[in-house]
Amino acid sequence: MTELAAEYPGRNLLPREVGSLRLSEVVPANISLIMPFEGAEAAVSEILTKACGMGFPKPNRTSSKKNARLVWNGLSCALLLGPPPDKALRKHAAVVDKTDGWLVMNLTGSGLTGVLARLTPLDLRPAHFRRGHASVSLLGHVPAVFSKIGAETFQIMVPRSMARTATEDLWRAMKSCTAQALREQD
Amino acid sequence: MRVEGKGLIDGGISVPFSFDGRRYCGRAGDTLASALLANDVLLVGRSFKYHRPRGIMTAGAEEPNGLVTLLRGKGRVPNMRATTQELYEGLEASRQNAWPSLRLDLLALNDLAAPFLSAGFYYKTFMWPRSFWQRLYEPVIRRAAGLGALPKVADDTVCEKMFAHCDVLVIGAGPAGLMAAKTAAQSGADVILAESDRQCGGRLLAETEEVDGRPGCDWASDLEAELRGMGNVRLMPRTTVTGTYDQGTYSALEKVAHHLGEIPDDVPFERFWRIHARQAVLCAGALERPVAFANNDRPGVMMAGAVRAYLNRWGAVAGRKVAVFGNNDGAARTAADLLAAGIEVTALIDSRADAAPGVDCPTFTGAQVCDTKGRMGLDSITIRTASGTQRVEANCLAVSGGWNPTIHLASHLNGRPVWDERISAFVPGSNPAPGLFVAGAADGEMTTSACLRSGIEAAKKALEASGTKPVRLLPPAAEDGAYSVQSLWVVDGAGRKWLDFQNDVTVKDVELSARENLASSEHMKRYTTLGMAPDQGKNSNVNALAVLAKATGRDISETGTTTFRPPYEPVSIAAMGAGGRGAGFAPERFSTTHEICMERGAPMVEAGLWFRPLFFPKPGEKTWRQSCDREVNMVRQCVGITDVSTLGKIDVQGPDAAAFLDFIYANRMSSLKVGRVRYGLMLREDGHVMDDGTCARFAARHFVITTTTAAAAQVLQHLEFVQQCLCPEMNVRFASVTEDWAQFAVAGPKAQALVNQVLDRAISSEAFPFMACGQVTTGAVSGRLFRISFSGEHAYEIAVPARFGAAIFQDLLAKAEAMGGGAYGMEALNVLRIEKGFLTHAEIDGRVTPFDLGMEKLLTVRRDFIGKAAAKRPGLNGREREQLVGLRPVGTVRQLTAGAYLFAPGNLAVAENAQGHTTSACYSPTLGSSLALGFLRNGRARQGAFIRVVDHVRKIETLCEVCDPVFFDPDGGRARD
Repeated sequence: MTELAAEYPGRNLLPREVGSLRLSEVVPANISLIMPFEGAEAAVSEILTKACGMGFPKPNRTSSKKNARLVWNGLSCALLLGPPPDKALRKHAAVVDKTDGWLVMNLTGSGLTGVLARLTPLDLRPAHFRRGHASVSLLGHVPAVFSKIGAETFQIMVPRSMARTATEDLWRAMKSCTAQALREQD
Repeated sequence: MRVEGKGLIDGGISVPFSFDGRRYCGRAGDTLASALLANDVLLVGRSFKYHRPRGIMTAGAEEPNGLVTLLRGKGRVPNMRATTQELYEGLEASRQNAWPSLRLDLLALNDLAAPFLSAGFYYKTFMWPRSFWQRLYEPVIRRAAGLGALPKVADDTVCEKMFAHCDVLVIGAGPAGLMAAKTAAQSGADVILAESDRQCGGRLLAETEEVDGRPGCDWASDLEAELRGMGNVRLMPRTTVTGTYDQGTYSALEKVAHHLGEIPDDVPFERFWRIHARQAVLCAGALERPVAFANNDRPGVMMAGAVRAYLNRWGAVAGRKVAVFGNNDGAARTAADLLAAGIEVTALIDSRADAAPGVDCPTFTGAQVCDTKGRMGLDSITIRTASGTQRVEANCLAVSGGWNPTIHLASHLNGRPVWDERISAFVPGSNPAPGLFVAGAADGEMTTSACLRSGIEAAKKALEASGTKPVRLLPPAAEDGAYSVQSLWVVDGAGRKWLDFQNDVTVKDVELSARENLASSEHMKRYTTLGMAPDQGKNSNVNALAVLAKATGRDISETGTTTFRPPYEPVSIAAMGAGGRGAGFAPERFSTTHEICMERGAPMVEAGLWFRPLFFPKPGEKTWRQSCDREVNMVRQCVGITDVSTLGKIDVQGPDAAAFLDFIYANRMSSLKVGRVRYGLMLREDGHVMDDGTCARFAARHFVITTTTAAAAQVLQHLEFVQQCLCPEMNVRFASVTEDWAQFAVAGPKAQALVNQVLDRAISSEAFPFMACGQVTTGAVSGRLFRISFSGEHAYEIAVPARFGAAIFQDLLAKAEAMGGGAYGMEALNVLRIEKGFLTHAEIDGRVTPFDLGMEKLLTVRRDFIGKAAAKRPGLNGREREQLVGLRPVGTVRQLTAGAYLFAPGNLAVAENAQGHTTSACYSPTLGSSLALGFLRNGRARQGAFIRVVDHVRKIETLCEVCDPVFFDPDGGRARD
């Protein structure tokens, strides 16, 4: 019988560190796209609450409990990271396994809004993009999901095939941001 | 010359630099222009058309003459303005537009030919003989045109783009801007203060006036430090806001490293900003305007405000004997500043008869300067008074024709400025742009005190507009004299009077334009090219409008301005396109087998952003054809593996999934059984084919459809549009799963044997017939298997979660090679499908209908689908249509190419006779012949006929026989067995 070895999207690309900034890969055990059918959003929310303690996320919001995270991903669309999707969901929603489709990264460190300001048009001022906020936008030319999961941590999801472009753009921005901070200190 | 004891810069630090091959020394804080003036260098360039000697005229970004080329590393940057280029150690600048030297420029002969080279000359001359235009005149004129020259090496300057958000954007940090920023910041708003200069202060840095009881420049620097210390203020020096766009968006260019000789690692040369501001306050000040008199372009003729700036900020003056000429109090102020610094003022000429300057120097009121003399620089001026003319010695003439408020950013969104007779200038109209408020000189306020007040007022309005309560601020004390100006546009007399110094346009040219009935400001601009040079008319527009108004018997407000468009100042394309050069142009998409393909030496090709292998060369193979032919034979005779992960895959689920797909596809999908795949044709609303692909059914309410690689996003977008707008009542959801599955074609007579080696449970042809699909496991990994074929052989596609893609590819290859098979790439894939007449977007190019493809029978009659009605129209069916055919060479020439045209033998190969074209071509090792697919008028009825295939570009002509597009295995038995 064949034995197949798994390779993760951030292999040979991450982690990267410069100054106080760190970009690292996160590998959730499962990622599912949940799209409630017409009129079924309440039922889906109930099932999710029972299964992982959180309801269907509101637009531009993300929530997490224990090892599960829900991220809003567009019109009537959410991503569930961590546990496998509850079987009861399939009656009320289209559930698509997206575990292998994403590179999930955590960007941490002070000054990380300066890094992201080089790549995305989102308003990331702390008063406007708070912890628990999420948005679908561009990272350079790459479509991405941004979640603020900590005071100094952003979780960024990009399509697996664009991992190299995304990590190189982030790396260049990290270096530029750090160089600028050093010059401003002088 | 340097004036000791004057200037705000540090005299202690000496900065060596070179200009036009000569070495000089300047001071830290100098600009290249101030350093050149301090070194008595007056001649800095030659004008565009007539190559007249030119010198520095202004002290800012509006500079028309002082354009130089900066030499940086291997490259050079042309058209840099000496007036804004901060001096750094080792700066090397060279002249532009003069050969062999600045002092002796051969093209100055153009000046002698001036009567023949006036505005629009190229519409009236250089017309005969006709052939000479393209061969001689145009290349010569084109070579002579332009100012700076681009470097011959590719530019490797690194630039950056960035986004910023704020509550209030203050544009300009002069007195108005500083007060606006302070008001907004103290009221709690997030403020961005953008200033083109390296420090705040604006005109306060150039004048000797006091604010709040102390020198204006000190007041400004104290307030700058205060703002810098506030957590809600972002100061952006060396940043010019270049454009006003919709919804509070502003573009800006930050000159990050222009002032650095050595750029540190990871620091960009320039940074292009997109700033989103809820409100903005425009405090961009005003620009001084010249007066048009004969020979007003001689080196040494400068703007009076610039003369004061060079004296007071940089301690430099253009000459030992200075004359001053103006129509407002700025003239007297300039003379007073010069005298106080110990410079000789040889004449103060005030055009206003009622002026009483009260300055201790030879004074002429109600008088005008009407001419200048001097070879490479000013020697003397001619003054006209009521009693006659007289010559006065001067090597610098400071001129002031008044001030033009810098209204551009308030006009970018179609806000039309209005003429204010009081100050003889245009000011912003009542509706500059949503969320944009104007203050200070930009709004026509001409005293420092008024500017300070108006900055506070404008910020107040901006804050109130966004619901923030503004703090109460009192403006500091400052100069509050009246601004009295009497308009003076042109001084009469013989000789050319310059308006646009950069494009060499004179008063006569504008009058000519009016005479030739190009009387609107838009026509005059384009006919004379006034305002179309790098200074974008900052020094010429208003004066020219005044001349045009007089020539057409209108007043200035009737004549109106041309349209203002971003950018306010030239912006390098490298900055706007930062990050987009080379591989940065678009994301690169790599499949899970990319590294393996690279290890095997496969050259890669980009398709729809994905990289795919062309072929897998074996040792000894020298050409791509050798590899391709071998791979084709390998698939037809044994087995081949290729990565097809890049094709779009869309997961479709829901109670109405089947009905939805029935509407999307031209053929029925609701009748598809679970565990089966069907070929599908997708049409556009206009009845033309959009894409073709497969549709697999995994459950009653679960389908997975495929699309061609490059159209995946477009098809998904189409599905979104259809579901949201055309059938919102359908309960269906879909998502792209292209990324999630690594998918491989296993094709050839030994395909089943190979597949059974990797599956945990073997399959048979009975259990898994042609067009079956289902869940499978391999190595305990859950996957999917599809029995479909793009090669025409017995074939499968096996899909596993992407993380196992590389592993399964290695495994399949090892097993295939053990059987005598191996990997095949895009070249072989293309040959295989052409041999079978299968389609790609080479055929489905947006212009073909189902009828053209011979697929009209596929269209279901039973219910409606997108494109059904249009596909039935007469023009999209019938004998006149170009229909899909196959082509095989029958003559001595065997070569076929895609993109060739088809002609009946005996017809001339010209456009009128074209009857079709080829879309795909290859050499077929299977059939030992070249083959092509193409479209031929009434092609299906012409099988067996001969046709000429003519490739005009590659100069190949091939006589072919028209045949069925399925060249090989026409019954399709090989795939079905």
